[in-house]
Formats: sequence, C-alpha cells, structure tokens
Amino acid sequence: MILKLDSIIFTQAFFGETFKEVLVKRPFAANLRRILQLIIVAHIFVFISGSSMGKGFGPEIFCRTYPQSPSCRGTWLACSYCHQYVPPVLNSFGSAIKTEYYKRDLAFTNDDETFKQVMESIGSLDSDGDGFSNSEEITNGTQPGFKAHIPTYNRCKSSKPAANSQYSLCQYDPDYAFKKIWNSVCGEPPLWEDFLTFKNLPVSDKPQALKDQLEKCLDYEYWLGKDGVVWKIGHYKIRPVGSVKEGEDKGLVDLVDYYDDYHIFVYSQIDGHDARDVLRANYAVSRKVTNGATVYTRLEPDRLKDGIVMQPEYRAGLLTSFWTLGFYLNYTAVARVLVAQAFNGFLGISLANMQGLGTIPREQSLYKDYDNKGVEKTACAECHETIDPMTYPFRNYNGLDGSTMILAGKNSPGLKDIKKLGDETNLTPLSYSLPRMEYLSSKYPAINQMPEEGWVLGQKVSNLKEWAEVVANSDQFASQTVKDYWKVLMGHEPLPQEQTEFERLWRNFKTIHQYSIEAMLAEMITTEAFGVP
Amino acid sequence: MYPDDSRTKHFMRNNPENRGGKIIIFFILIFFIFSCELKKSEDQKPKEGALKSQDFGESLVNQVTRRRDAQMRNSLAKILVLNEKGMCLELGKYPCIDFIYKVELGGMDAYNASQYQYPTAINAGTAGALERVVLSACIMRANMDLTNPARGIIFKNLKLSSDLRLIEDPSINESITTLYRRAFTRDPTPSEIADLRSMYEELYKEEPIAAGLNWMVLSCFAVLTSLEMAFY
Repeated sequence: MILKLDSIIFTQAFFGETFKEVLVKRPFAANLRRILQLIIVAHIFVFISGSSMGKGFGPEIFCRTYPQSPSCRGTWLACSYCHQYVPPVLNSFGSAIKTEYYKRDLAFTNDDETFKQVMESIGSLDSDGDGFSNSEEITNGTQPGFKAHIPTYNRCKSSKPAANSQYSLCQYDPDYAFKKIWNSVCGEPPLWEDFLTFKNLPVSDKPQALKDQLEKCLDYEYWLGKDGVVWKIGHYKIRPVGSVKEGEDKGLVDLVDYYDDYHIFVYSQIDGHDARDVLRANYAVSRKVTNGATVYTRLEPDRLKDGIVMQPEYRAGLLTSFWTLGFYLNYTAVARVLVAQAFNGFLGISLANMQGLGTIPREQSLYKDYDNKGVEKTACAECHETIDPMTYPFRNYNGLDGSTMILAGKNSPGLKDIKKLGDETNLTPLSYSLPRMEYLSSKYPAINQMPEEGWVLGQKVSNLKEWAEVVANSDQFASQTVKDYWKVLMGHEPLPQEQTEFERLWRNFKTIHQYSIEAMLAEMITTEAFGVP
Repeated sequence: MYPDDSRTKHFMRNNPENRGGKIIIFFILIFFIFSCELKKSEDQKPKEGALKSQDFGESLVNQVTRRRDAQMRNSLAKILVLNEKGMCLELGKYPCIDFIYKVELGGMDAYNASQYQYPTAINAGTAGALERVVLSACIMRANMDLTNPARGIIFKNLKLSSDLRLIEDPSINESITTLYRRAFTRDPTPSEIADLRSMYEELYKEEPIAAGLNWMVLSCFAVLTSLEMAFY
C-alpha cells in the first residue's frame, strides 16, 4: 500500500518510470540492476515517507473534529498524542490512523471529512491496550496511544459524602482547605490556635475567612519575595543562567541582570495587576526589601532612568527585555529562538516539538527564506511556514548587532549620527532599530525584503505590539497562566475529572477576574479540586 | 515505670565522660532506622498499638501535594521554633535545604543547573536528605527543651531522671500532643500515642542511659519524617 502511494510517485519523479513500466517494457534479466536500484530507492523513500507523517496540521484537524476534547481546550494538542513523544515515529494511536488512511488508499491530508471517517473507524479500538477505547480517551483528554495515560474518574461521584476523624470526605471541607491554603500559599502549617479559631467559626463565615486567610498568605515572603513561589513560576519563562548575571548575585560574566525580568513578572502577578502585562508592559519595576517585606514598585517608562534600553513606545514586556533580546535574539537575524521560547514560556506550546503549527496562507504571509537558511525546502517549510511569519514583527528589534563596535568605541556601520545613539534611526543594541535590516543585508541579501507584519495564532498582526496583544489575549495564555498556579496549589496538572473546573477558572480569569491572579486564586480555593479531601 | 537509676548519673550535655553518649545515639538511630525497614518487610500485619486505618482519612480523591524545599524549611522552623537558616548546616556552614539538598527535597536549581521546573519524581537522595534535615532540627529542639524544660516548645516540663531517663508523667502525653498539633494541626490518635510510648520502651531496652533524650529526638524524628509531613 505504501509503495502504491509513495514510492510509485517517487520512482516516477526520480527515474521517469514506475515499477510496472520497467517490468513491462524491458526483459527482467536485462533490467535486474535497474529493478534493484528502484527497490532500494523505493525502500529508502518508504522510510522517509514514514518520517514525514508528522504533519503540522495534525493538531488542527484533530481539534476541529473534537473541539470539546479537553486536549483541545485552552491548549495545543501535544505531538505525543499521535507520535512516540515527538515526530516522526508514530505511537499505536497514530499508527491506527495511518493504517485507516492506507486502507482507503489515501494520504493524510488536511481534509476534515476523511479524517472524521477515519476517526469513526478507529473510535471503538483500544490502540494502546489500556482497557479504554480511543473514543473514551479522546473524550476524557487522555492519550489514546500511551498506555500509562488512562482516564481517571471522580470516585466521589459514586460515593456518598462521609466523614472520618479528620475530614469530611467527598464534600468541600473548609477546615481542610484552611490547612491547605496555609501550606500552599503561606508555605507553612497554621498554628493550632489559629486552626481552632477557624474551626470554631460558624459554617457561614468560613468562606470569607478562607478568602481573608488567602489574602494574608499572598503577602508572605514565601509567596512574593525573591525566590518565592511567584518568582519561581517565572523560571521557565525567563530561563536564567547564573554565570552571565550582572548586579545582585553576580555571575562569572556580569553581562545582563535578568532580575529586571523577574520584577516585571512578579509585579504583573500580584496585587490585582493585569497578568498580561508580562507581555505588554512598557514600564520597569524595582524591588526593595523593607522590614523583611519585599515591595515591588512600578517605574515610569523612561529609558534614561528605568534601566531598560528599549524605547518605551516599542516595549512589549518580557518580549523586549534586555535579557530576552540579548540572550534569545542575540546576533541572529530572524527571531526564531526568541519566539519558540516565548511560546514555550507563556503559552505552553513547544514549537521545537512541532506544536502550535497552524495553516497560514503562504501567499499572504509573505513567507520566504530571507536569511538563507533553507527554510523553503519542503521538509523545513512544514514547520517554518508557520514559525517564520511569527518572527517577522521582530524585524526591527535589535539584539546585540552593532554592540561590539559600540563597546569598542567605534561607530557601528549602521550609525548615522553618534549623537543620536539610541534613536530608532541608529543601529543601537537592544533597541528598536530601523537600519537593522540594512546592516544584516550584507550577510543575507534578501533580508531587507522581510516584512514587519506577520502572523501569530492564526491572526495577522502589523507589529510586535499587536503580536503581544494577540498572544496575551489568547485562550492558551490564560490557560497556561492558570495552570502555573493550579500546579502550585493542587500539586499536579489538571486531571481529566478536574477539566471542567479548570476550564471555568481560566475562562473566568479572562472575563470576571480581568486577568488578576489574586482574584483567580480566590476562586481556585473554592473548587472541588482544592477543597474536597 | 521509668525508675531513676542512681548508678548512672550521666548528663549528655555536661559530663565529658559521656562523649560516648553521642556515639550511642548514633548507633541507636542506625538500629532504629534499619529495624523499621526490616520489620516492614518481615511483617506487614499491624501490631498492637500501631497506626490503624480508621485513624486516617481514607480519601477517595487520593491527591496529595509534596512539601517542597522552602515549604519544608519554613514548616520545620515554625513547628520546632528554630532559625530556618541555622537548623541544619553541613560542615557547620552550608544550609542543608537552601543549598546542599535543595533538589533532593523537591526544589529547583534554576540559576546554576538550568533546572526551570520542579522535579516531578522523588529522587534516590530524597529520603536521606529529609532524614538528615529533620534529625538535625530535632536534635536541636530536644537539646533546647532539655536545657530549659519550663520554656520547652515540644517537650515542655518533661520529667527526666538525672541520667536522662523518662519519668512517667502526664507531660509525656502532652509532649506528644503538642508535637502532633504543631506538625499536623490535629490531635494524635490513641494508637499514635501508644506507638511513641512503646518506642521509649524499645529504646530503654537497648540503652537505658539517656533513653529519655533519645526518645525526645526520635519521637520528633519519627513524626516529622512521616508521609503526613512529606506530603499534605
């Protein structure tokens, strides 16, 4: 079947004839060598074609077919859903899909109707042999190709509320929630006396008392201080490197102070601030410890005073920070690493593992190999058709280009007027810099044609500020942000039986709570997932 | 029940002749730890006085959260009223939780090891690290309470003989209750009290001298290295 689909096409393209033509036209003995050549080439192509089954549109077509599956809501379907962790090797579920396509003499294409038929055919199968059908696993948000990942159920649903010496079971227990707030948010157990005071409150007063306790704990150093809970959530978004740290806790190379990034991050997560500011802030934040309490203060945007080199009108939170541009853009022409890191940190989407690849109309995206990296090759374009247009809005954001010359006291080739160092008309490192493309064009002749408009999450954007808005307003951002705190308070990622509460929470975070982490946490402590022992 | 044996009048802290006392404690600890492990595998049936299933909340939800490095540090410091930085130092210098056993105790080392997420699994060194930290903290607390029983935090007004054996007194049960209340914000069950009391008898059989002090350290150690402390 594979030969019919792939190798015939390939041998035709390669040799200008098919097996059939070779066999019919020439005597077998005379063409033995030719036939062997064809068989070898066909087998090589079989291997390659198997490798190319990791289709970027796979998650999209799946989620169009199953929009209600928890695997598709507020997140991007993981590659491991069909693959053995990452493409190209398929897992048992992916193999079942592939087999169904081959049974129909079809290749896997972005066609909803065929995909739906294929999925209906394999829905009743149990591809991974874990005792649950593929349909059950899809409905529950577990992975149908991964044996250890099975649907879990709320066992309380088949049990009556009960109690033992410590807790009320299978029902919200405020006393249990009180202890859990203390341990999770204050970082220590309550005193016996404090617990008794709470325990003896009238039941009707306990919900408010829990909220009051949460508010107190949110001011603990354990929560908001340096290296506190919120700070640590920022680790995978900022990815610090201790050896290149400047200022406080200086490293071997005192280059950049990424604590500035932590300050903006923590500030956006506390005191009812808008969590989206992590991607939108045009301001810096200072940190000061007074009488053992850490205070974060927002500074007015002023590049001469606030320590951020980027012009305030072009700032987009951590996307344009000193650390991000210096470390992730660095001397590269196209911001692929920076975008991949931003997707990983703020949306929980791993572009490196082929997540988040949607179909962007190529003619509209102006997709092209501007930096001569070969991204237009078929195998590369599979991902880069989506990834590269996401990087175009970073076109004029300079990393470290020109810094060597400036640090050496020489004029950078892009500098037109040294007196205007820092102006967008000059090639200033870590700034919005119009001559950047011109400077890079000596290395990459086509780079000047790269547009500033681009695409992100399927939407067209004209610059980075719009890019940041789209990302910050996305379901994926809200879901990922709430998940960060869910993991802290619950100790695990949302389970299948917790998906309803989890989704309600991140949707409310976007609407009712207006992106306030603290308001969202006040709701989180009322969930069954938090308060039912 | 715990007679004052006048033949032995050795105080652990003050008498230089009893330098061997610390060595004895060490061997008792080793024996205690290994005997626990052996007994577990030898006999799974709960013995009399052991914890019984109805003492605990048998949750159908069955979800617990790991008490990670900073939580463990803050919790131990609060439960035992100790300085969080000084309660365990390796080589008398390096903080056990914040520096030496950070990752073993569930923390992440972002700056030096590029570890940007909490470890999801418990590693091979976790149990040893937890025991190291708790033992250090418990020795400190027991010695402080021994020095000034009237102002004791856990073992308040505990009656000890001159050679540090326990003397039967309500303060024993009160100490156990205080320990559970401070650690888990609950009262101990009768079987938990019986368990800790029976531990003293075992310690006494092994080495009567300073059995009281050993009991103080080890009852604290047993409770604060339990699953209920490691998770919440």
